[in-house]
Amino acid sequence: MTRALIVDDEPHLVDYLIAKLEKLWPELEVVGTAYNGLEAVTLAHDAKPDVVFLDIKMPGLNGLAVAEKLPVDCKVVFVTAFDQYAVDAFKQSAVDYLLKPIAEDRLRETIDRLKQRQPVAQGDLAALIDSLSPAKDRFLHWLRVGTDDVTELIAVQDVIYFQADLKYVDVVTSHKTYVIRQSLTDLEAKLDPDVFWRISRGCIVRVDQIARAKRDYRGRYDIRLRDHHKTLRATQPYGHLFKKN
Amino acid sequence: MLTMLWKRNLQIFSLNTLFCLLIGVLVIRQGLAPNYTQAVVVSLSIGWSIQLTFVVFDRIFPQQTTGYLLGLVQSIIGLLLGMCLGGALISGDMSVLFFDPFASEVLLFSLFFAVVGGSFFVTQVRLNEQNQQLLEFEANQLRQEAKLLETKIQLLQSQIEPHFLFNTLSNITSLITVDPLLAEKSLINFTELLRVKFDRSKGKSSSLADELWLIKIYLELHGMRLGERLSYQIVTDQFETHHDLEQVTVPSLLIQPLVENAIKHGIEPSISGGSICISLDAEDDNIVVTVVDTGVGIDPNRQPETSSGAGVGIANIRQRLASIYGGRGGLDIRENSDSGVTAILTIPREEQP
Repeated sequence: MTRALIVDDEPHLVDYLIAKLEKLWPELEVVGTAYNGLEAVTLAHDAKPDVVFLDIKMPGLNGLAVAEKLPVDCKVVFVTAFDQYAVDAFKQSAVDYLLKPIAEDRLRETIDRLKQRQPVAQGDLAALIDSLSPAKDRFLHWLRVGTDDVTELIAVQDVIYFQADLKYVDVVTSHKTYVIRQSLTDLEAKLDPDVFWRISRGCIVRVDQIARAKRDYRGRYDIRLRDHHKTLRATQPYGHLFKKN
Repeated sequence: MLTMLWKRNLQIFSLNTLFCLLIGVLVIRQGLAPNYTQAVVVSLSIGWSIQLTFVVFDRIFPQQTTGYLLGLVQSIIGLLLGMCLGGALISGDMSVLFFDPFASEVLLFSLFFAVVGGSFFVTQVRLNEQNQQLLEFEANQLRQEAKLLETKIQLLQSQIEPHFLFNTLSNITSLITVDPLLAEKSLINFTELLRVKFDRSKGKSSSLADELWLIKIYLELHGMRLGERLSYQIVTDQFETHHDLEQVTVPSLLIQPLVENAIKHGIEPSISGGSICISLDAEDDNIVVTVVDTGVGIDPNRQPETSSGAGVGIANIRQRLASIYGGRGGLDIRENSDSGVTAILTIPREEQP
């Protein structure tokens, strides 16, 4: 008898899939249901299912990460609501997948394949997971700014420029200026160098905010910004950033 | 534009006066005039006449470009006028300066400075005007861009996130057999939401009551999906009746993205879920909307997604506030001390344009 584990963070969808499976594949035994990724991994190792119906977008651990941690002999059927990239990847890797809402005909095909016990191409699964897992982004995207007893959050992409001021750094956005206690060099290391440029010892500017850079006779550049009235100055050692090819 | 021009004229006037006084002194030193009063009176008469000529010419021929020849003509006219005026002032005879033994020297001397100074004046005024025109052009362009952006953002905010769309549909499908009543209610809710989002004829603003109704529908739909993981409340104590809420006008779909963010980035990623509280405060000048969630909060390294991510959503709200209310109104995002995020949206209380 085939044993199945059903994983989805939305309870109605779990119930629905169970009902459909009971109807189309009465011999299947549902050995467990899980509502998040961590639960799914634990249950998969305890209940040893033959097949796991796995939702992709889940809290805790997403479906792809769960698939990596499943026992090796476990077959996986991914279930997803909408994700164009995922669907393309599924087609390429020949891993089975179902689209929500699940149509009976489509589920029947999957059941037929599972009954035939076609081996799951594990290499394909690994490649799929690799292609779908978002690359770990090492850059900073949110800044915490303390003002008295509240912590405000600023999206780094809203910052126009950073200006060092002794031990502090002014964080200038189009609507407000915040102050953080951090060195500009530490900050620079955490920012995406394609998005933010250091233009002087004391200043880092968001590249797409640069409206124009005008060179003076000493090789410095006066930089006009798009969403801010202030003119910044790029000092000579950083002048190469603005050289025409 | 006029004020700028007159400011410039005044600057040149002061410079001119200073210069004339200097020349007056110089003329005395050279022994070209009998006393200080006469020297200064003549010098100022000439200087001011020349400036006046330039200003008058500038009015009559505003299209004329700068040029030393024009400057020379204007200077000579100004100079002759100035000599008549100066003569009249010191002796009551307009022609007296022309017969002065030193006339030719004074004449050449003045002419030289007049041409140089006059040309400088013309160039300055022209440059100023051109700058002014450029600035106005840029301002116009900016206004156009702001309008375009507003339309773009509105369109963006009226879009429905595909994940939400498909998840809702599959949930409703799954409910048809299990809980037909909830399925029906959800389908009606979803239809209402689509109606609002697709209603292109809807203006840029709507009543607070309508916005809250939309948010309630939106939360109910998410509640259906997430089950016990989502709880929510909307606090409107400060408004005594529904009618009060209908009286307040706010930009449409401005508040909803905050609720969307709270669900998408706070509640959904949390295993145990959480609650969302939306409260409205009526101040004298502002409506303050506070959206508090007890979700997972913001991971500093989490990338704001491109189309509907929190960062972009927040930037859109700020952009709309700026384009509708100028510097007033605002949005702050704060981290709660225990868990989750608080968004505080301040909407100026006024009739929409």
